Amino acid sequence: MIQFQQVEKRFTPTLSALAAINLEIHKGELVLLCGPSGAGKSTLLKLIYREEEPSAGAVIVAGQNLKTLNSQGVARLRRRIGLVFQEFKLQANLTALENIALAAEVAGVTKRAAHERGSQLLDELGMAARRDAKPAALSGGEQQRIAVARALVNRPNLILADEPTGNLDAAAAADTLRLFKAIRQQDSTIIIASHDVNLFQDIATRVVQLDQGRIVADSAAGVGTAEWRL
Amino acid sequence: MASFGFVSRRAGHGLRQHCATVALTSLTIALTLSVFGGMLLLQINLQKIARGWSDVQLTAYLAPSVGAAELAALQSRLQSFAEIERVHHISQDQAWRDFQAALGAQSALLDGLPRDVLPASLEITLRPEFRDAVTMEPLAARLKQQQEITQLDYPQRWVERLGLALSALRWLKWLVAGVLVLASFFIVSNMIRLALLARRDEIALLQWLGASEALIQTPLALEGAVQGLLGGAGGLGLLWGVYRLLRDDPAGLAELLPALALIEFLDAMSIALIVAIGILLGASASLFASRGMIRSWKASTAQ
Repeated sequence: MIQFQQVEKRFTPTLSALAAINLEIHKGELVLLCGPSGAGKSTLLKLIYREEEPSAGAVIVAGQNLKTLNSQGVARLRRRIGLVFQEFKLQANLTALENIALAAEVAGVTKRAAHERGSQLLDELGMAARRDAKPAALSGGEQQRIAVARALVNRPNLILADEPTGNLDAAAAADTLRLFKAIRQQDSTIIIASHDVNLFQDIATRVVQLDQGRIVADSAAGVGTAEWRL
Repeated sequence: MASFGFVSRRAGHGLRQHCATVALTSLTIALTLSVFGGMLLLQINLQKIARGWSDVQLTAYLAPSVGAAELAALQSRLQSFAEIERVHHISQDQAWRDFQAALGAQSALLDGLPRDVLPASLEITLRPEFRDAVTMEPLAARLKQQQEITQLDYPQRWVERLGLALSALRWLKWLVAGVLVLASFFIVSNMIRLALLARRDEIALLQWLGASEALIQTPLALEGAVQGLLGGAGGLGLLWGVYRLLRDDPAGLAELLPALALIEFLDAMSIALIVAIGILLGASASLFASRGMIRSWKASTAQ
């Protein structure tokens, strides 16, 4: 489903964020990208949704080299990916339901259908009572649930989560973990970038460790230390 | 793909959320369009005055020796001219009575003067299509060739001057409008650029969700168009205020300039033109501002 072929990403001639990345992620995998800050986890995710372009090599998603995509192609790609970020990125003046429905409307779904899908997700996440609440009135955990619901509303095959528990306390982080477990049962491919290996290690089917822009361990390939047991 | 409902909701949402910017942008457009509208107003009213002057007949004064038969022949000859619509004879006696009536209370000044001191004349009215300076000069030359006519009066100089002023105004209006609209375009687009910076997160979110450039820019263009519409309406409102002030004449200017009492407001076509320019200005400035800017943004750089 996703292939990195000799991918390099340099932000300056001397600063290399990623180097010699060769990685293949298959349908249905839940991959945990781990490593310290600055290891290149977020950059690797950004290459997948074409927020960044590789300086060398190729990133191929569903058989398509992302370098060949024009702006319309990038928009189409992103509509097929569910993205979850550390900062939630909810629109402050929209309600919980409207925030979820926005992603569906951007994908061309009518307002009515988008709100129906949004309501259904809110029910499933146990957030039905908070549907009309604005983000400011929601806790961090609740906001992250809304962000996850927004990522799921278009039923994407691929979900990317960048430090999804980074801004959450332990209880909310555990709650988010349960959410990802539930998503995984729906047979999506999920890639989570997190420095909190312990939290996601139990649900991940594969752990890829990055350090200074290089893959130093991959549980699927048996590369690196045997620390990442699943 | 983008439904009109979604686009209009996004535009409405943007307009509600950024009222101060909307008001400032609309005011800038309103001021620009009120200057252009003022020139249109001037042109329309000068045209009206010009029409009024063109209605004034040419007056041909007749030699005292012209008899009834010669007069009839002359009238018949003149009536055959393509430019002439009507020829009306004013006898010496009629001229006397008209002059007396015009003098009113001072008519006693005429006491002691012979009643044939004023010459008989012909008042010549032109057909509407020939009421201009270009026609009047050669026609006057032909009329002067008639033996029965001793003198000819016509408002040539004023018609010429007014024609020149109108012609200049027709061009000047577009020149001034061009400069103003261009200046306003850059002012408005820079204001919209600043407003977009404040909305960077919102736009970045749409990019991140996979909105196409068209889906992001169409609501912004619609917002610009609405601001242009408000600006057009505001400009017309300003002009209407000035028009009412001149028409109601609280300063008593009409005594010095009687035409003020007859001033007309813009016709429907001019109003539509001002509103259309406002809408185009707002929408194009918005598109111009957002195009390059949005492309350079990356979703993840927003907070």
